[in-house]
Amino acid sequence: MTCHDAREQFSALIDEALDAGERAALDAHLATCADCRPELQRFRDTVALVRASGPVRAPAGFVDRVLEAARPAPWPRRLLRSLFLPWPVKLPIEAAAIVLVAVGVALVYRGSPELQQSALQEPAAPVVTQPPGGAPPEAKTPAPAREKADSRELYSARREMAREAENAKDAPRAQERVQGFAKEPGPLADKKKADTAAPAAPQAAATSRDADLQKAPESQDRQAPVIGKLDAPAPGAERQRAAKDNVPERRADSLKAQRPASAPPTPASPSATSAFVPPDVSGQLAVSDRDLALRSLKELVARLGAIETRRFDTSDGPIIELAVPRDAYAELNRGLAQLGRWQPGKAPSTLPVTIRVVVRITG
Amino acid sequence: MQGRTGDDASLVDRLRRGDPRAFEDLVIAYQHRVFGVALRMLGNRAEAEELAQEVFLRVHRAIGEFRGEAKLSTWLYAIASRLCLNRLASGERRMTRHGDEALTRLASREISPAEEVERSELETALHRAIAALSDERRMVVVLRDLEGLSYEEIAAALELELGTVRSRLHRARMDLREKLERFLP
Repeated sequence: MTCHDAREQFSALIDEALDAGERAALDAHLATCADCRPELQRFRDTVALVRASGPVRAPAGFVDRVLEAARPAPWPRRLLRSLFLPWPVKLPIEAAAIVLVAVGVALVYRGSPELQQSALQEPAAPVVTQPPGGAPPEAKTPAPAREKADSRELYSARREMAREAENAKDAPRAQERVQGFAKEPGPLADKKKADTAAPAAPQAAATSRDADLQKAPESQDRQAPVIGKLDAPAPGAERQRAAKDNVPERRADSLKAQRPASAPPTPASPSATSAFVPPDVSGQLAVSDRDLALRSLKELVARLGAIETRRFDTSDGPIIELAVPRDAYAELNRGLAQLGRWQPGKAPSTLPVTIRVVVRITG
Repeated sequence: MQGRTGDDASLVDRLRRGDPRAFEDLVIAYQHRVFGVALRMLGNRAEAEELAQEVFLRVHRAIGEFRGEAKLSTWLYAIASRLCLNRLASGERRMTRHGDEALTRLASREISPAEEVERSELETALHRAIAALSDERRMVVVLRDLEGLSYEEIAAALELELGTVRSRLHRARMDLREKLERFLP
């Protein structure tokens, strides 16, 4: 046994934890090693010093404090404790959870245009005026349902317009009509259109064209300039469709080329900020010559100091939103009545300074 | 702790039966030992009391889980040592374990002022040496040389092999021998 081996067993020797063989070997080494004997003594003295350290007593009142703490707390306090204690652990977790939920809600809200629309529209919904003539049954549906119908109508109408314009991009009047178009079509309180225009016309051509539409940049479906420029008279459409289907690239190019020209000046009107607020008044204008009526309407609008804020073309006819100064509203009604059969809906009892009027031109 | 097995057995029975006096008896019987381990490991009386209280509250809540395979005292030491080591490892400690308070108050045994002066240097050195040990080695020294547990009890409380207890204790004592060299006769 080496000195090192022997000294490794000092601790166990002191505690009498060596078995008989180990003990005999260690004793034999110690008997012959003059270095290890004093070393063992120092080791013993060290342990004795440590063991001489006085006993520790719990502080006075410790038992009472433990018993008090062990007594079950009243349930409200237990609940609070379980919710918030230990503070350093649970509070940050709870705060983080709140932040996460808030961020989640914000993301979902931002990612869902429908939610944003309904948030914007709901307060204004009761202001919606009845469409002219016999109120269609949908007008009686509750506000949220109407908003949804509007979204669907807008979507299908945009697609339809996109298709028509593709087919008629070289149609003679396309550029001219593009001029006055506002950025984004707004929702239309007129429900009749939803029933007729949107579903009917697109259906026939939809199947073959859907694929093409999806190839085009997504913005084509969504953004206003495209919609404006895409307007074209419906009659030319069917003729052009067959030719267009073979050249999707050309279509994309020509769309790009047309975009700058067709981008309308953003109207400085209330509608720019309240894109989805329903109009104050909507009505139907039945005319015999649609183009003549459009030109006359343009002049009327200019004369009254009104602004055309949006235009939305459907196969049924254009739908035009105007921002009209309150003073000029009566004159507008008179002017419209001269253009054709003007059937305005009910106006609110108190008119705003700028009245938003939607005119649907038919005939 | 030795020779208390019979008492422990009846105490455990009473605790399990929900005897309202049993828990009080348990705290009275073990308060100094549990507090002693906590104080020597943490080095701070306030923190030690808080931890000792937690040990008893855990026993109170979990007495149904005590199977009686080990002695009640071993179970208490096991809970106390685990809580101490966890706290030391957690880094959430409010006070340093080398605080002066711990060093001056650790020897709470009644001694005369003269003796206190005489011993103070040694006591200070001793506690400083113990405090300087690693947590695992200090725990073994505290349980063996200050609390008087056997190797087997220490192995059970710390869930260690006997050989590990033995070598860890030896290393701890070697460290102490080196640090206390000048106080040795």
